[in-house]
Amino acid sequence: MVWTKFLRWLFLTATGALGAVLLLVAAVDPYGNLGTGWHRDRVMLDVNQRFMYPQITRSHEFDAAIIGTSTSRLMPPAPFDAAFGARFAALAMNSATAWEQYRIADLFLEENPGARGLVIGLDVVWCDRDAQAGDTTKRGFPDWLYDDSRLDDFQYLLNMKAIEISGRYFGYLVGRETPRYGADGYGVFTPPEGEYDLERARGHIWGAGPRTIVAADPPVLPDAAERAGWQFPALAWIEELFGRLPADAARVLAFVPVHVAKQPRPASRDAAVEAECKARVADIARRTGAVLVDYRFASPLTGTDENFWDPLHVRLPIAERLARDIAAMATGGPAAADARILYRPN
Amino acid sequence: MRPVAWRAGGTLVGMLFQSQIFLLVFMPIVLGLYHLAARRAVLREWLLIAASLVFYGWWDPRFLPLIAGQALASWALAYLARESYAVHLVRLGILANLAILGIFKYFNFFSDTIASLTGAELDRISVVLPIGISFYTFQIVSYLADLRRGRAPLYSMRRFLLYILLFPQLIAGPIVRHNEIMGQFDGNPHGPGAAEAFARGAVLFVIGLAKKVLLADPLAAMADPVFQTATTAAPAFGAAWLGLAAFTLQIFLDFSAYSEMAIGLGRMMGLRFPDNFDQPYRSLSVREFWRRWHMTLSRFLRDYLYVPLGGSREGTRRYLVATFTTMGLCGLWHGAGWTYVVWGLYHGAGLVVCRGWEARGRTLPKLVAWGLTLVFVMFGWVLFRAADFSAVVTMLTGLAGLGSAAVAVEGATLLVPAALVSLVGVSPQAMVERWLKPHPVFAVATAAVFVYCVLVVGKGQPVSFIYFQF
Repeated sequence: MVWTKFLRWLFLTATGALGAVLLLVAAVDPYGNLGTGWHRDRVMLDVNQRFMYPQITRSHEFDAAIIGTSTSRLMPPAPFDAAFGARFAALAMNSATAWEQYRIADLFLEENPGARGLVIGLDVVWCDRDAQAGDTTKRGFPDWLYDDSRLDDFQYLLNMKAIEISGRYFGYLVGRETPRYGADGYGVFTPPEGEYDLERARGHIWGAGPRTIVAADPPVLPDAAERAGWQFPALAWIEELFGRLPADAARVLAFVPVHVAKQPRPASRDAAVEAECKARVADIARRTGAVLVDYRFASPLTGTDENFWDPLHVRLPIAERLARDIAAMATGGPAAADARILYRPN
Repeated sequence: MRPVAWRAGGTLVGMLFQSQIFLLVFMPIVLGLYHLAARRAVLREWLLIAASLVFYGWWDPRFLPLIAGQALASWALAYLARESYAVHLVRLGILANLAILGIFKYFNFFSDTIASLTGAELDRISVVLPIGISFYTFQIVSYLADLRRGRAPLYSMRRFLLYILLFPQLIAGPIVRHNEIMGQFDGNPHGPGAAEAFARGAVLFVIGLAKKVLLADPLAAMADPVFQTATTAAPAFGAAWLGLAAFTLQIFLDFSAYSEMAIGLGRMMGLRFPDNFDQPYRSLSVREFWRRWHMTLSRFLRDYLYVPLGGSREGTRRYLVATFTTMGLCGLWHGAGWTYVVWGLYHGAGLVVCRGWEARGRTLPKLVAWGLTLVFVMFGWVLFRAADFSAVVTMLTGLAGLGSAAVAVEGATLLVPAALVSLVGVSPQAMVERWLKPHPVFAVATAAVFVYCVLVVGKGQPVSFIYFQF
């Protein structure tokens, strides 16, 4: 009898604890995917956007989206909202591969078939010649949050992290936790402007110390046949996404600025590859009726250390200017300073 | 052997004991149905066979025809061998089973070896190594060998299938002998002491689960980068020793944990599997180590290889041949590579030296004997774990303090609890059998550890990176 009682304690404790965890997770719905939460707050309580953004696409509160990596995350949606008369969600994700960006855009278009715009902040990942479907990072990519089935999601919710994020929600209710970014996905991840330290930024940008960027000598000039042989597999995904947008929706492609220290050395093979990639993107813009603007070249913007926190991330006022300027160029305005319009439909 | 994908980048994705699908779905359903069918022997045996096939097929359904075919064909040969004129069929069965193991596990090893010796270009085959094939093939072979010696009866087909397929010990042991388990299948799972057996089994299972999830897996994350570095450069002194210490503890905790989970599962079904590990790192000699490490394999090799080869009773030469043959094959059984063979021979040499020392009646202070044994075993793990011989050399270079490659080894404090669990007290089996009392506190603690482990192994957890350092 004593052992039967022992077993009863064991089973009741285990099932009780697991049941409590399930109840907690279902009640808080930390990724906003279950639809079982008692609240309708959409609070972004984890820094991993891959897990947080699917609920934004499913909220149906937005009819347009900005995707990209962290290099596009500081651009606020408001100027795009105003320019296109739409409600943009900020769905750019830190260190996202082109495939991951495609996945969130794909989900967005699936959930919001009448979408009115898609802005893609382009950087080097789209020109990766080895990009392939399924590329993810060590941060984990929750395929289960991107599929059509919500029932199977429970198998991914019995873990410490789901409990932790659920717990943060209670912290949020009592004012001890702040959302990591807004309900539209937008968040400023750079420190306050007052804390900007140029010397520190230069350390990030240049490492050992500022240097003069000189062109490769002799210049690498691949011939047309060689260039034609280069593949940029991710670019096809852009065409596919734009093809699914309604005809009158805004299609905007922008090579976002990174510091010249991070750009390919002029006249190098990498520079030739990047130029070819840009040309291919321009072809896609032509075929899909998209606007393509380019900030990714040596310019006063990309050559000034003071504009950057590190070689990839501009300061907030610059990012806000970028959003305004890109929106203006996409709606017929003149080329902004430090930008080129590579293609714009008539 | 590959206990549970201990190698870095292991691609095993089957239903591991420490997966939620096993812990929360498969195990409760199977145990529930088994105990519902407890009073009907035939039904519960078929149920276990079916469950084992599901378990095994979960790894890769393509493995099912092989294991089922090996088991059924071996049983059929045993059946035919009832007639004395057909006894030679049993030998055929042994050879065929070993040949299957040879093809699936060792074809490329032999092919590569011959190619490197002769310079010939030989074909390699591209097959997936069926999980657990080394374990179940040994069980089949041991049965057929006993049958040939007249020491085993002919079992019913159902019983024999159950013996080979029984899922708790199918993947990574313990290697169970037919005569220690077959009779148990007749026992009543709800007989006297059933609740106690279930409880002790459950606690042992949870101890194994915790060892695997909370100790062995994090230790792997410490050891892997060090051995990875050793494939290209000698790790710095501290990193090399930390990595080796981590792997020494990992391989024991991982492998013994899997055995404990298997034994615990058996106990929950009223079955007793033999013990497999008895705190081997407390050994005072290499001989004692092999009496405490993977005991069911040592026993198998002793009875089916070492003794038939002459053992220690037919002169020194026979003893040396028997020892080195047995230990060389023991190494090969663990993995299809020369590093494993050399690891086995290294232990063979250790056994020979140890025997010679003992035969002269010499002794060492206990602490010295323990230290020497442990260091000997640890250097053996370098051979066992390193990717190839050049990695062995670079790792040894690092251990000698002649390396400089920096490796970030994080979480070294984990070595302390891992060492305590490995060195202090008795084995978990002994602990559970001797000391566990039916007090609710132990029940609640066991449940809490179980739930914690379930949550730790949960899939789909976002990884947060410290990314921006402005």
